Amino acid sequence: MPSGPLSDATGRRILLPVFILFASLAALFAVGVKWGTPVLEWSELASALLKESGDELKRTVLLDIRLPRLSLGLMVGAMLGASGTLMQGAMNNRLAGPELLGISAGASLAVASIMVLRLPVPFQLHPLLALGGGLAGGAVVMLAARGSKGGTGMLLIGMSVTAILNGLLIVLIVMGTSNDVNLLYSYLLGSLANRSWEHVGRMLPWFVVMLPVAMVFTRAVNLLQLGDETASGLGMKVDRTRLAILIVCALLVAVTVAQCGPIGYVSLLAPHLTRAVLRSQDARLVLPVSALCGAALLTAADQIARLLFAPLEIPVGIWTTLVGGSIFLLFLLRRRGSDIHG
Amino acid sequence: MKAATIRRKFGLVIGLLLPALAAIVMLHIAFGRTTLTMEEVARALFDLTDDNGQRHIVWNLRLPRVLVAIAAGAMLGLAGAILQVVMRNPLIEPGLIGVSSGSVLFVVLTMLYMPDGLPNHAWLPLVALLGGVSTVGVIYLLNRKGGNSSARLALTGVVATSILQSVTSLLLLRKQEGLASILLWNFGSLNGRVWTQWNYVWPWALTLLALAMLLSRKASLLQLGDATAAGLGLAVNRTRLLLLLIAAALTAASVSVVGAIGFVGLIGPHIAALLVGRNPLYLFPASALFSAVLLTAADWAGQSVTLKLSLPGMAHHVTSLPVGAVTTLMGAPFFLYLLRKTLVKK
Repeated sequence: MPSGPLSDATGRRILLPVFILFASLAALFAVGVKWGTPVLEWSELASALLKESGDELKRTVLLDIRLPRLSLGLMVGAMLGASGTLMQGAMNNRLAGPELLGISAGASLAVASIMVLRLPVPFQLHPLLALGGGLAGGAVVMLAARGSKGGTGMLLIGMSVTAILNGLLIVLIVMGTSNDVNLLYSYLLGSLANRSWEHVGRMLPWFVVMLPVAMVFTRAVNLLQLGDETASGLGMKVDRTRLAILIVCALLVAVTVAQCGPIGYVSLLAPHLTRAVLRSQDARLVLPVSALCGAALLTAADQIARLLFAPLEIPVGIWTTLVGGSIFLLFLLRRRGSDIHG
Repeated sequence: MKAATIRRKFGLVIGLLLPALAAIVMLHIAFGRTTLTMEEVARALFDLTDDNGQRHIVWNLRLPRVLVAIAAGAMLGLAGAILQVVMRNPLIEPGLIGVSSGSVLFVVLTMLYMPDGLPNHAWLPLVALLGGVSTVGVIYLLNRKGGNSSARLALTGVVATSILQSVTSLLLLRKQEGLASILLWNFGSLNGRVWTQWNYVWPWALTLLALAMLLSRKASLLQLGDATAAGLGLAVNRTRLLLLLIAAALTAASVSVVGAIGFVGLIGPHIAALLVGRNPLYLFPASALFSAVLLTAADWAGQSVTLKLSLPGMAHHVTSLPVGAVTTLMGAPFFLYLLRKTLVKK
């Protein structure tokens, strides 16, 4: 059934959530362009967009600060939402997420090393180095978790690897920079502050290529969700497919980390919310909606990061951890102890 | 092992750890931006030196820092040992079940929002205790439904810790605190610890160490299992609660001076158990002493790395490596090893 054609009923079921997500994205977008310092009037927004004569400062604020930041947030959120769906499906573990399995922290440490040590690496290569770091982090977790049953053990192992990587990150930041708090939080928790069209430009090709690639793998994810035996019974090379999906997933995450740091809990929560709302496990539906959902979550969190204590900005990663982490904790506590060993 | 053998082993371990502590203290005091010779350290310590600069460095900067390190290490090590014995869970330490981060949050809240609310800083450990106990209480109660298995408790503790840390970060960033203060509270640091901190932490350390030792015989009864302990006339639940409270207070007191230093309370008790066995009568003091050596050595290592290794941009850096980063780098791999041992049994 999960690999068959989508029925009309399911098609109708996703219409409303998708519509609501688009509407809330539009609303968040409006908040994102209008509010801040300075607050723009609607008429000013229009005139700035239409390049009519207007306040030069306000036009710069809109065109060079707020719009690129919003676009970047949308892309990052969408990629995180997609990566979470792939990862949870491929590992058949609803508690999996790149931030819990050492991938985000590994990618972040790689990028932070380049920035802090001022290594002569062109910006175009940052995502690839981040991918290297992320894959290394993820591989250590997978190897360390070999033979342990149940999701909880793997998460704990992932968290201790993350702790080691974050320890190295602190060493790097403390020893390589002069008292830079923002740098610490950009690479420890992630931030969308001070992003320009340049960042958007570096992200766009990956976004355009990687999301369709992720979509291609949804059929395989559906099979893996049935369990390894069933999937291989249906003729799938289970291990190879899973590895391919995890690499796609790591690439999605690495690209976002290279631009904004390891923003946590978005890729973990977006698929959960999506599956709950759609009441479907079919990755072909869940992945695109989860991408939308991730975009909305991150954009919403970023508005809080920008506006709540304005003009002071709190890195968006703090908010996603605060809210997303709490939801995740409740989710953990509601589960029975059945799959937990030790 | 026979009782006499254990006692002899315990004597040997303490006999080795004490000189080790003395040695690491001397090294720690000697090393820094101005390096002193052992002779200069000894002369300054015994007040025989004529060099006022050296006396200032040793007495006002390095000695209090070392003393705070010893006290904090001992308290964390003892807290970890108590928690592991009472909860019969090898994966537990104060930083992993939310005590440390809860304590830190309350301390930071108090320091930022009620700077005049406390008569003096000596009350901070109490505030920290309140934070730590309420955090653990909430986690424990919420967890009861799903069964408080060791891995599960550790996992919820880690997630809760990252949430509480982000609240602490939020508060500190909102008040535009610097990197040093953020590292101190969220990761733990001994940088800039002086006599003020020592003065209010030592009474706590001493009292709680004594209390824990008084209860160690009862704790050893707890290890026989609840039924046996009750049969021997022990008020099981009251003893357990009292011990847990002492562990929380030990953590809270150390956290209120050095922040959330992680993993010391995990490594210390495990190594101590390897050396002297699991009888709390010997485990508690051995773990406290070993952890004191461990934390002092970690701080010394952190400072050495900061001063010896030069990274680009190093010229104008101001903070030295927080000891919490060093203990994490030592402790997290150790935790991984323990996890594998626990999770991959068969």
